[in-house]
Amino acid sequence: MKYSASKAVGAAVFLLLVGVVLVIPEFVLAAVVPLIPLLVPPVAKIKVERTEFEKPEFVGEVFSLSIPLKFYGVGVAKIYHEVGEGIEIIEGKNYSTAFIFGFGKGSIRYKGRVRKIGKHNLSKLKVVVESLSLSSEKAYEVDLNLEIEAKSRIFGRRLKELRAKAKSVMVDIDRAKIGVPGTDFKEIREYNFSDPLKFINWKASARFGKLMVNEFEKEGKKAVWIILDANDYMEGFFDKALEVCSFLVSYYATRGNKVGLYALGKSNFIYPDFGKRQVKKIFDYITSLEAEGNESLDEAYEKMKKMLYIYEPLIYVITRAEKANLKKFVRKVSKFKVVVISIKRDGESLGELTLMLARRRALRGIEHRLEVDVEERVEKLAKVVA
Amino acid sequence: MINLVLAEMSVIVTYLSLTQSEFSMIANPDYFLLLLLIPLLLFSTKRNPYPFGLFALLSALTIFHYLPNSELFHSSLDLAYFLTGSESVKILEKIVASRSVNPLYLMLISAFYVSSEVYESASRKKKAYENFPDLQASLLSLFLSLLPVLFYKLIPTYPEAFYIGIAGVILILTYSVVRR
Repeated sequence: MKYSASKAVGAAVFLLLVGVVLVIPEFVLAAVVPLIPLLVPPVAKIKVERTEFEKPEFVGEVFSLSIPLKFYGVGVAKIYHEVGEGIEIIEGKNYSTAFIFGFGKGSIRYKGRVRKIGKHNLSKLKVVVESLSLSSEKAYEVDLNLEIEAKSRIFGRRLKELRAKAKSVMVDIDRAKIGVPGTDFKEIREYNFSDPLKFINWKASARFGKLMVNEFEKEGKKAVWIILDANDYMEGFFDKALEVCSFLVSYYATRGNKVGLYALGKSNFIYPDFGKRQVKKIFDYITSLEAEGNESLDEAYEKMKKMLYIYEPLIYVITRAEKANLKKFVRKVSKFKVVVISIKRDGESLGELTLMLARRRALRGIEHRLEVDVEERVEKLAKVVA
Repeated sequence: MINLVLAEMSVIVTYLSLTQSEFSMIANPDYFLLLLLIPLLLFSTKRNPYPFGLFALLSALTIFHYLPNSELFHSSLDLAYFLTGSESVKILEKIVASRSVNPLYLMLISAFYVSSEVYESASRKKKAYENFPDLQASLLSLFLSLLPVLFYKLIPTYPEAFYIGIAGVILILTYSVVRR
């Protein structure tokens, strides 16, 4: 029994007992008084008026929703609009109340932001009508027929306008470490087993007294190795990380760089390759990822060490700097060029300021670093990379 | 705050019932105005100013007003007169028997108590739902609780109040159980 109902029944029983024991009719009559409000049951007929909803198309977009409601009946209505995990409410509330006595009005108004790729069902509107004495309740469910299908901003976009700007990409000047030797002379080095005989430099061999070979630059561009952090602390930041990752993959893979990917937290990697097929392969993989892993960069280093030494790639680490143990990892891969892209969400709350200080501390000393706010458009990143 | 007002009003109603009872012949009922301090003290300590204990106390005090209608009281006086033969007992019985009682006092105290409990319950819900209509719910409960008072005012002659009351309580409790 609900709080107020139990109190009302308690009062009625008390008055009844006194009235019966002392044989005072007024007490027995007064025992009816506390019970009268319990007699009114919660009843409501709900009518949804014209819903105003601007459907968002991409992840990160803000949408506003307004659901005006009309009630006919008696009671206190608690209205709750169910939103999934992938929706963040940034202004207003997804719940409300309405007082109904014959007729009542209520509404739900809020602004939200889509945080995850995929379908989000916004159809469920739950209404619980409580009796006026708040002693009993009745639940109703209204189907609003609202759905969001959010796509990532970067997917399927060619970034043509950026191609023109990106004439001096950092890795374009670096050559691949493996592949077919070209015609550009690089250096003379000692002969290794399996080196072709045609590359032996006989004059240099005679001078040094041991076999020396000419080394030529390999054809192709330097590989890019992206470490995408999919650990549980990326929740809420992961869609921006995916967006950044998608941009880097499509940017480099379509420019002739081999792009490989390591999903931190999943212990999975995709071997470096270039071209549209590789872009699709990586896109298909990362869209299926959820930020729920638990793996350190040190553990990941041990697993991908072999690949790093074969390709000597440019490494991109997309993470939250304040959460990942970056410094140790950067020290280990100091032989390679490492760019750390830290996803952040800045605000004015004490917690967010603390995170900002921790992030700054974590990024201090790292030569190539970049902070991307979850609110920022990825085009800014494109300008930086270009 | 609403609870405080309701509790203070209940204390005043109890005081009025005492001033119209034989109790005023024995002692000064003005002392009972000190009861006004109890809700204030409870309110200042951030507790419910109108708890069940206060309601029970105030209802018990109104018994002095309703004694003339109590069969048990009259039987006790008869017994006391039979055993002691005291004249004062006979005088007291004559005084009490000559007075009419007003059921409104107890009804009002009960209605104020229920309304305060609804408000208390609504205030708890307001912690979860910011704009919960606690005041409206409380006032409407007060109005519903006062319906029997209205009924009494319209039809003041109720010869079988005792049986009507018992039947009403049983019917309402049965209805609540069946509905659940």
